[in-house]
Amino acid sequence: MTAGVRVGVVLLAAAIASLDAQVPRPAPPQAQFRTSTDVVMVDVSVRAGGQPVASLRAEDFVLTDNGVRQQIESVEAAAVPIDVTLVVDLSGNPRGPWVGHVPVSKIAREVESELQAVKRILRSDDRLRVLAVDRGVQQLSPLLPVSAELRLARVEFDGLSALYDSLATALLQPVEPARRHVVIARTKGLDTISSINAQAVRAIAEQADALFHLVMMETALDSDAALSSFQCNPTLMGLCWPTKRFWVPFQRRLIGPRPVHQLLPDGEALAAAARATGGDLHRASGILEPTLAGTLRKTFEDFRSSYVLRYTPQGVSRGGWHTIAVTVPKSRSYSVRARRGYGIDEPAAPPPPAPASSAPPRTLPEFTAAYERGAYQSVLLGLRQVTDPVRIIRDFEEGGNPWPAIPGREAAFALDLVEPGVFSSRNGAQEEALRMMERFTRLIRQPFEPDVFERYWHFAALTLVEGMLRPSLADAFVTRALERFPGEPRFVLSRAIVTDQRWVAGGLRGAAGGTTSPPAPAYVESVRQQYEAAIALPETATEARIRLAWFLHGLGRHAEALDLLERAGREPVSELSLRYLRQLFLGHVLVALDRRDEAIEAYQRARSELPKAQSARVALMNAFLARGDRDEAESMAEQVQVEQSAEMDPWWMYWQGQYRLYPQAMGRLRGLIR
Amino acid sequence: MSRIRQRVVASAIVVAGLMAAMPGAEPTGGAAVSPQDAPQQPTFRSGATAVAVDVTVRDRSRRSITGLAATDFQVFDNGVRQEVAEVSYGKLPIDVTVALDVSYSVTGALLERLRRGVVQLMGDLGREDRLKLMLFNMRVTRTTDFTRDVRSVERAIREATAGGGTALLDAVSVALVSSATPDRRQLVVFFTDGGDSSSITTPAMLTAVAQRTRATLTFVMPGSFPILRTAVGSSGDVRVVSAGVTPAPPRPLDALFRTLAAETGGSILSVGASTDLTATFRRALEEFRSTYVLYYNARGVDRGGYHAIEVRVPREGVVVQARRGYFSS
Repeated sequence: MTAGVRVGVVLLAAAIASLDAQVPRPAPPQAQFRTSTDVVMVDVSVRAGGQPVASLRAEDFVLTDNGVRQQIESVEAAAVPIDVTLVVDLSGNPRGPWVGHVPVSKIAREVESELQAVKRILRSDDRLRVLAVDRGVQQLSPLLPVSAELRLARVEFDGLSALYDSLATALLQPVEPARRHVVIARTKGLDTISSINAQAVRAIAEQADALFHLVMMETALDSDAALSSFQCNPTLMGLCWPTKRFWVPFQRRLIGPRPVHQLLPDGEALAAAARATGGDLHRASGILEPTLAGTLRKTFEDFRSSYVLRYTPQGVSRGGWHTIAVTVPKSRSYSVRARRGYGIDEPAAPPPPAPASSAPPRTLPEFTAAYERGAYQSVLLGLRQVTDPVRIIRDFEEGGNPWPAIPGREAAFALDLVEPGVFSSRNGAQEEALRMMERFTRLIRQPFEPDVFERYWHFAALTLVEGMLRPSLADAFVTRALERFPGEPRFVLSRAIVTDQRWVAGGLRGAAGGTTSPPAPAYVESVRQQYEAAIALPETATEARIRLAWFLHGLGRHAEALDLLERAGREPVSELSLRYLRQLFLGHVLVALDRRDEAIEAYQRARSELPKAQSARVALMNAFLARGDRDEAESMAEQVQVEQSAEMDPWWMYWQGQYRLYPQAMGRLRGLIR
Repeated sequence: MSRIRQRVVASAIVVAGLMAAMPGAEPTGGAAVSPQDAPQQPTFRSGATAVAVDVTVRDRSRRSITGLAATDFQVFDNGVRQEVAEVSYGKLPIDVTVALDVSYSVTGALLERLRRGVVQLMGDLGREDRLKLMLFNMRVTRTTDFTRDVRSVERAIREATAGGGTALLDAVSVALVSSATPDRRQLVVFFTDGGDSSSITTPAMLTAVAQRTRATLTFVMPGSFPILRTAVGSSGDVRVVSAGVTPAPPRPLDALFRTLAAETGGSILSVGASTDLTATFRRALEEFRSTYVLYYNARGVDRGGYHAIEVRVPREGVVVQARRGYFSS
């Protein structure tokens, strides 16, 4: 199956490409697992009287794509190897009194035992991956050949349930050509913490390249006490507060009437998600509950004996949702099952550019539409004119993900949308923006290991919060980014910058100096150590040296500052603004050391980097005057007032940290989601 | 000759060398002058350092005391009593530089009040006086050079767009260093909330600049004002990142403003949220206009370096205000 059905998958393919931390560098090519041709392959199961029907040929099938009959190019018996992703639900265990005596090791053994049963069903060329539902998505075992020894990663329980996140993760796993993907999820049906909802899972399933079966664990929560415990917020003095996103109310009792398992809307959505892929929802039959192995066995009977129909869509628009219908007209008694359709988000050809005269978008639907067609500049222009950034953020959150199958695009779009709020003076705008950013730090979290998209997202977010000059608010974002990417140079530098910002943001230091209150020694040492950590990393060494030098200069430690700046000067620096700042700061340090002639030379070198930058001119003017060169000083004053550049002076953005790199970071993010 | 004169006057009135080419009077030494006298330029022929000092003399009710003669003043240069060679009062034309803070801190109705205030100030200028308009946020821009054209100044303020960070210290430094025409007195009036987010000039540097330049610096600062923190956007636009209102400073740079005003013989005028800025600007001009200029040849002191000046008027109930000193290179 190719592009048509697997558009959503390509995002993950991009996201797992080689990590690339340095924003200014050109992006390396991203891994692509699929070609871009619109060839669609559909799994079709045909049964008669419960038994598979064999030996059907292409002409036996009628397949329509959006109502238009298609030419089936080939029919293959399903002999391709299978990748199975099993999703086991471990959520709720720590807080449930019913498992209070069940050690984690026992639960792990049970899971392992069931997995061994599953392995026995699979063939040697099949592969198995195991995910667990808990607070986040745990990968208990990566995708491995069945022949490989199964070693579960450490099983951990947290008590919360990120069911929908886990299902989405499973469904969005990339599938290699010539392999098929089956997702079997066994769940208790509760979700307490996911970042997406059941409708999003359904949307993802519709576009995912996987057969999806869902197994309900109804006996797992078999008593009111268990249910109450699971749904209770323990801080409410024993009062139960139902979770919002449950889809099966558990009313099964050991003694009493038969359980009533009513699917709530979310449950219906998940069932629909499974059926949309050709899979199903498997419920209890009597007192017996389906197991993973049992479900897999039943599924494989269908799957192994199914057909794969291949066609190239004709006579239909490429983009949007494609409804597939497959029939075998020669026998009405046949039961035919196939996925119900697929969606294509990306247009085949680049969208026509918006007319030059068109106004920038103003409303969220307009922003969304522009973003979708890649009109980023128009979006940015419109966002700069937003007068109510809070409204935009709220509209966005209330509307949900406009691209459920492309979470990366939503996450990048969210960062673009929060920027006006981050820099807004409206009451609550910054808080609203930060709240949404904080939410997305969870949403973009990749289930298994951090990837390049997540890295760039964090970096773009950090540049934003550094740009706010509110270090107390930025701290949490830096911490989160470093938790995900320990040692990432830009994040290490961010930690130092944010700590450094506390001095100036607190009004205790002037922009260029002038301490009103000397910082505590512990604080000074903390900043120094954090910059030293960034200096130890080649990617950020130069900038960290320059920043540490400026920090020490502010403390009156000019000799140390000079040493750092000289060392920074021995390193090649490609970034113009850093070269400029080094010379500018060198000039100030030399002034402080009463080496005025050398200071003037340094300022002049800064000017040669950026001839019209105001800060170097003003610094030169002051230095000339101090040296007694009044004419030169007056000449500089004149230039400052009348010869101005539209470009930003790097000094003006110095205290905003790495915010200067925000446009590049966002550009890279957008590149990753294309 | 005029070049020498210009350099001397601009460097905190240190007149080093001959001033013979100047037309007009010889040093009159002790002659009393009146505001009605026609402007006359002092001329110095000695090889000593000639110094001119602006001095305001008021009574305890802040009313200007006029009619003082050279003999009424005692001037000390680095502690050494000097002979006042010349006194002028209201003779020299005035160049007023008005610098308006158009960062995010100063917007809307306040900007309109500023426009009215500056226009009225121009109306109050004397026949020979001129006004220059500087606007600054993080950029320092001379919007209108010295002029008597009210309409061009008014138009410039009307067209001002508020926004951006604030490079107040840079703007003050540039205003002080800007070339000044000899034999015209320089008043620089800064209207600002006192915040600074973008200057490369440090307080120490600015103090040094004030000691090496001639202009008198007066700050007009709101007593209550919004506090806005700005940041530069990704496209170079500057946005406010936090906002609030504070009824009264202290501002981090208050001590610096006091130092600058004292060093240059200027003052800090506080205005309320609805204070008539017209009256405030008029007051700044009147205080500056009612200033004596004392000329003396610095003797008995080293020529180079910083010279502390002290001016006394040995009378009961007199308040004397003068710049604290000057730098001689």
